[in-house]
Formats: sequence, C-alpha cells, structure tokens
Amino acid sequence: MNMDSDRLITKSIEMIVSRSLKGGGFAPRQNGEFRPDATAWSILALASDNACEDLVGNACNRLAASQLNDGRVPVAEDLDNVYWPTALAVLAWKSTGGFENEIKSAVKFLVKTSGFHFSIEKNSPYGHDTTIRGWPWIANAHSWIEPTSMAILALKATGNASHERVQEAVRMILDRKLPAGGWNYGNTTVFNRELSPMPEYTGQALSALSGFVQRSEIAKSIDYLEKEISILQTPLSLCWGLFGLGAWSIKIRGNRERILNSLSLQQRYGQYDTLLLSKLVIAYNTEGNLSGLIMS
Amino acid sequence: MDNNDRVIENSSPIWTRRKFLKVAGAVAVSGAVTAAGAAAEGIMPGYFTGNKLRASAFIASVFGYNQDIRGIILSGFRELGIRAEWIKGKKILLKPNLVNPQKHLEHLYTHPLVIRGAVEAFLSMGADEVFVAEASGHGRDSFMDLEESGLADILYEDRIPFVDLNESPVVRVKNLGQTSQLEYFYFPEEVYKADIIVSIAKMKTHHWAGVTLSMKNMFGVMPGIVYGWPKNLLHRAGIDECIYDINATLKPSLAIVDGIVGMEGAGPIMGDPVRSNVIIMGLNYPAVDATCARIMGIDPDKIPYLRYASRNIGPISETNIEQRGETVSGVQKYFKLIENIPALKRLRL
Repeated sequence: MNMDSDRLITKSIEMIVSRSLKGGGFAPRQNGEFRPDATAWSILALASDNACEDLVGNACNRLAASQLNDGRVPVAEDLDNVYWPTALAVLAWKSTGGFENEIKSAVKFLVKTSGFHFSIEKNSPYGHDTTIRGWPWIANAHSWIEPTSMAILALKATGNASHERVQEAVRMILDRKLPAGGWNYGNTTVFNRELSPMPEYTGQALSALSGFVQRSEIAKSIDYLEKEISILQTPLSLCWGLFGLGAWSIKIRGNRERILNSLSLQQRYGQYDTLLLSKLVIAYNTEGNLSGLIMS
Repeated sequence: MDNNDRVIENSSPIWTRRKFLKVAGAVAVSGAVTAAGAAAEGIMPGYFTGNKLRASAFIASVFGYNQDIRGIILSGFRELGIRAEWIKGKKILLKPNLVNPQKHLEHLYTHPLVIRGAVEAFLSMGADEVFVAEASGHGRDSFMDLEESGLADILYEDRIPFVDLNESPVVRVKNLGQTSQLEYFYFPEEVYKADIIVSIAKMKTHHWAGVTLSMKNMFGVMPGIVYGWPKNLLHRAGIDECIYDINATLKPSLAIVDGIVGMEGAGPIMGDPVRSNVIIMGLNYPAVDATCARIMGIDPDKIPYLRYASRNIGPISETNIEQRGETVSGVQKYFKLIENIPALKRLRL
C-alpha cells in the first residue's frame, strides 16, 4: 500500500469503528441503531484487516444476542419474519471462530426454511421454474438471488455444501441465469420478455456457484461481468463484481485502484454506510477474494 | 375552483406531516409501535369524503426536457391554488421513479431535469429543504441508479440531498386502507420527517397494474430491508390492494407526472418510448392518475387500484375532475397496450 491508499483504507476502518455501539455491534450510519447485517459485514471487514479483536468479539456476541430460539437472526427485534441476515451472521461468526452453537442453530434454521414456491402454471408469466427452492428475503415470499446466494455461502462455509438444500439452491440459481448471461434479482423473463442482468446479483450468484458448477456453465455470465467491471465505479456493484470474479480466480488489473476510486466518490455521494465501507475494505484487503476470507 | 375543491385541496398542505407526527405522537422508529394511522383520519379533513369528492388536475404541454420546467411547475402551483405560505419553511420529499434506469433510456425513469425543475420551484416558493428519496425495487445499488438516470449529476451540481429509503430505519404504521390483508406497513422514517411528499412519477404502462403513475410510484418508498428486492410480499398481498393501501395510509400531498417521454407496451421496464409531451400535476393522486390514464387512452375505471381509490381517496370520473391547463383531448396520445398481458387487456377508453 502506498501512503494515500493506506490513508483511505485506514480512514474507512476508522469510520466503521466509529459506528460501533456500546452494547456491541454496529450501526449502518453514524449515531444509528444496531443492525445485524451492518454488524456482520463490519466483522468481516475488521477480520480482513486483522483489526480490533475486542470490537469484533463484542459484535459477535451482540449478533448472538439478537438470534432467536429457532436460529434465525432477524433484521430488527420486532421483525421476526425478516430473517435474511441469518446467513450473514453465520459468515461473521465463522470468520472469527467460536460460536459453534449459534452457527449450528442458524444452519438448522436455514435448512428447514424456504420461501413461497408454487407449481408452474400453463401460460405462467414467469420464465423460471417456480418450484425450485432457494431462500427468500422474508417469510412467505419467493426465493431470490441475494438471499439464496448468501445462504449457499453460509452453508458452504460451515461444511454443508453437500446438503440437499444447497444442491437445490444451486439448481435454482442456474435456472434463474439469464439466457444472455448474468443475473438480476431473480427473474429471467416476464411475459416472454428477457430482463437485463445486474452486476451486484451476478457477482453474488457467481460467488455462490463457485465449487458447484463447471466454468463452462457460467462462461457467459463471467464474460458479462468482466465487461461490466471495466466501467463499474459505484461501491456495491464494484465489490460484488470483484467478489464474483474473484470466486473464479479472475483477478482484475488495477482492482485496488478501482476500490480506492470508489471510496473517493464519497465526495460526490456523501459518506458511505457501514455496509458499503465494509465491502470496500474487504475487497481491498482480499483483492476480491471474499470466498477466501469466509472459507478460511 | 368551487368551494368544495378548495376545502379538499387545501387540507393536505396545511396539515404538514411533522404536525401530524406531533398530534399522533405514536409513531416510533424500528417498529416499536402502533396507531399512527388511527389519528390520521381526524387531521386530514376532506381527505376521505366519499363519492362527492372533486379535485383538479393541471395538464401542461411540454415539448422537451430543455423547456422551462421550473416555470411550468410554478404555473401548475398557481392553477392548483398552491400558495407560497403552504410551502414556506417546509421540508419537501421528492419521490422519483428510478426503477432499473439505464443510461439514455429516458422512458424508463423520471427525467432528472423534471426533478431539477421541481426542486427549483419549491425552493423559489420558500421551501426550507428539498430532498430526493427512493427505494429502488430491483437493485440495492442506489448510486448506480442515480448515475444511470443522470440524476447523480443534478443532485451533485445543485447540492440536493438523496436518501436511500431502502436502507433507512423504519416506522411501523397501521394499514389504513385495509384492502390487502396486511395489518401494518413499515415505512422509512424519512417519509415522516418530510412535511410534504411529492410523487414525481413517470407515465408508463405496467404489466401487473395496468399503469404506473403517481399512486404506483409510492410503492417505491417501501424499504427493501423489510420487503426485499423485489418487494415480493407486497405483490403477493395483492398489488392493486397494496397500491391503494399504501396511498391511503401515507396520504402523500402532491403529484407531478413526467409524461414528456413515457413508456408504452410492456412497461414498466421492457416497454417502448412514447412521446406525449405533457406534465400532469395535482393535489389529489387518483384525479391526477385518472387524467393521465385518459391521456394514455386508458379507461381509469378499468384500473383496479384507481377504482378502490375512487371510493374514498379521490375522484376518477371525468365529471368530478376539473381539468386545468390543456384539455385531455388536446394532448391525448394512445399508449400501445399488449393484449396477451392480462393487466393490459381491454383497458381502452
């Protein structure tokens, strides 16, 4: 790291740390309240920097305290049905070691939980197989790319890669792949019209599929993301683009400069939230190898 | 404007949302709560007055985004009887439609120059603060949406704040519409910090709802951290019912619809551009949307959520809408409909 880049990353970590809470955990913004997803990403970011062990430990404990008896980790105390942060909590606990009971309980919840799925009707407006189960954002909703990808990553990281739910979810993600390559939030065609791919979801899907499918099966999606990444600047898409390609051992030239450039765009957009800062720090420290961080 | 209109249209801006919060006193952050809704009916006199409701809609011909949109919006204020004292010192939330924007495809999203025009109009009327807020329904990268739509440049140049409603802390509010089976909604707390909510919608067909205009645009305040990407739970609960319920609960104040270039066919994302050269404005959302629908050659009575809304939010029949500015027939441009999409079937006037 040269001095400027060193300064930007250090400042980002300081910013994340400044959003830590007295009772443990992190808020998405300055003076904000605890949120499990902000906490999980902060833990991963600090782990990628080998920084602030005490804060990380307290944050893991706070995540554990927010876990319900059945293993789920809801987005807020009174939003039990909004359980998409569960997979993120598993990744955070796993990255620091310990928390075996919490991980076990969360994994149990994930494998028994799926969203709303329904049989394919004649003349269905949807192009995908609506019967294949992945994971939803929220109870009683359909399975979508992000929560499914994160659940696959969590189950893979905890040694459950061969679980039938993971295998089914891999099929689900492949089924949602757009004919021209890439993924969006999880629809392929609607009323026979093909939708467009989006970098963030393509990166998530590629991260999840790594180790499960042959490269030939996702070659068009990699091509799409490699083309996109050359113009991506905004933090979320850039990070997931790097993570997705990193999962397939594709290194992007100048990736660290791109991350620093994205950090400097705070002059334009205002201060990033904790989730974005964390992803940028992880992408920088691991050079896009999120999988390496969470599987180690 | 007759007396009836004046009572109805004056009511919303006078009772600001911040006053509403003080009166209701029951809205709390992160869902610790309850009954904001119940109090609301009492403080918005004239809002729910049944079939007698009448309202105005202003139609302006605008032949391109390089026109003086600020001036057009100010004319709309005058025509609608919106006075400076209602805006002075207020905090204004502008809610554009930014679904899946892609560079230069200006039929997809509210044009940034319409947003700039609205910002300038409100500031020139003495607004204390104007900010833009959106909760994109398909993607979580709101900065990408701002860049692709061209709005990022405008916000940066004009120093206008943007709030990503998807990531905002939430407030639990009783569903006042009660048409869907959802007992509560979770709204971003930012919408309750605004005095006046303005839906700056796009004029488009919609493959699930028939049309997306000012009312459907309010779907886009629902926070992704609670409803996901896409906001599937709200679709499952009934898209028409939820559109009605969200509007009946939030009671937004002013609608501005960008129909300069709209979208026909398989909207709201995969349709084709269509030039209508209009901006439509009004203080009553159903009246504005019904007017837009007629301009698009669509019968508002065939749009289920507009039918719901006509029961108690606002009029959709031509006889109860006073048309200001241009006439519907003078600017009418039939939007292409696709008959094999059920929501777009048999909608013609």
